[in-house]
Amino acid sequence: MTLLKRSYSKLGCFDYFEQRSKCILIKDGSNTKIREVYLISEGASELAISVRPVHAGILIGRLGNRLVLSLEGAGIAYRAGCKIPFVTVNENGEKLILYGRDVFGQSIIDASIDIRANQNLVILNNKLEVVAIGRARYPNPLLFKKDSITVMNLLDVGYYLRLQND
Amino acid sequence: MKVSIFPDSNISKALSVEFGYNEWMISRYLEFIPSLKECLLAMEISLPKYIRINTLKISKYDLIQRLVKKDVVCEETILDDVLLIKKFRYPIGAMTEYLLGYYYIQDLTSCLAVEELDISPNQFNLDMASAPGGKTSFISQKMKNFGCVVALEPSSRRIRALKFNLSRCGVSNTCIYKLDGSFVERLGLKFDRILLDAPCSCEGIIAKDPLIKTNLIPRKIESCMLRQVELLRSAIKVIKPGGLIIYSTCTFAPEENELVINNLLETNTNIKIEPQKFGERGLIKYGDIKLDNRLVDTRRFYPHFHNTSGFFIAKIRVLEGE
Repeated sequence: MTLLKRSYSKLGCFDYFEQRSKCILIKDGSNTKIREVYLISEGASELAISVRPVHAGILIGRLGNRLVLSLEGAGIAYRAGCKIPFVTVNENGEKLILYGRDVFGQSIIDASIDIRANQNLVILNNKLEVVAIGRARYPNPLLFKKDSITVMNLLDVGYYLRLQND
Repeated sequence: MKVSIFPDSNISKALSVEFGYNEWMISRYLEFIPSLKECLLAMEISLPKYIRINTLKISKYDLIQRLVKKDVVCEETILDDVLLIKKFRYPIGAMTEYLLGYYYIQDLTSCLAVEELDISPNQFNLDMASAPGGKTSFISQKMKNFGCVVALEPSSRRIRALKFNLSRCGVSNTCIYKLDGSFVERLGLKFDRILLDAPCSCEGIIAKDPLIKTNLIPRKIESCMLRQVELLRSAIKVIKPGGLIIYSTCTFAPEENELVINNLLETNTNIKIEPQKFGERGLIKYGDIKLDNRLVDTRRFYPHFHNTSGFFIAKIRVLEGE
């Protein structure tokens, strides 16, 4: 729990998740060192504790040494005002992401100032909705570099649909 | 119980040749589908597309604005949260709004089944056959993500789809159990509302899967019926007094609809079939079989009358204090 609270603080969403402390469920993942963190309604959490389900609520992240947010978790945390590094892409960039492609510099229209190379971030569309989780290949000023992939797409909202179609 | 097979006639022969159905199916349909030719014609064209707005994530107004900007032409329906899609430029199952969980592609009748559950937040509800999660997420939406929904699904592959859809729709009040609905008693829980959208022979979605016209055999209907009776009996065991069960199928077969409910009425004195707002009255006579008069309050939906897939809904109230 301490690790989780420390992660909340680091993400700047301590208050948001602390208010929902009753609705956070932690369960051992397939790798026992990594635990899974779920956001769950109070009624469902009571049941999940007494009769163990295969899944409950929304998986918001995985907890090892720190909390690594899932795509859904990143979306919830971003909407809650957490300080998550981001890049915003234009409509064309959004389309490419939903096909599983990486992000070219010319598609980026905004980015957090303090992004470092290899840092994980959220990719937002022009309506500021989280459409993917990515990793920066360069620090911020270089993220806008034309004709080169500057952010790698790690997981996007179109992933499952593509998986089904394959 | 055996599936009723009716004598073939010139009409059944002509219609089965014209529309490519097994003749025994047409002979049966002539017994209980009104204006059969119109119905068969309606099933030759693709089903109308409906979407259910996920108000857990977006307001109806905002979604309509976004869809209009993407050249989607939509129309209101009898349900506030459901829109009929008249025209679209991009596939509606691949739009950003869909992937973000702002809407769910779902037939109007499926939404009607949930609507009839009279859901309110803080209830303890059960979806007995929940994958891929359309109705489950609508139940959660109606509960405003409060209370708890128990979702049962025996197949691991379908649980993956269920998890994806519930996460996509931002549903946080659901516990998924890998369990066949007939064993729900093992959980030791009692529910306020139960949705049993039973596995069926799917005659109502022939427009989506035309192979049913030739592949359906009477034994399939029989096996579905046995399963449905079993599932409904299990549901009765875990409903709280005063609770409500919605039984639905997407088939026309009376053996899987009225006869299943008739069987339940014969074996349970403490249940009541409640009336519903929409749809055609259920059958109270089928061939030579006289059914319980209370079945008139069950509802049938036909493609040519309601512009939906073929569907059946029964609203079963378990009486208190008995």
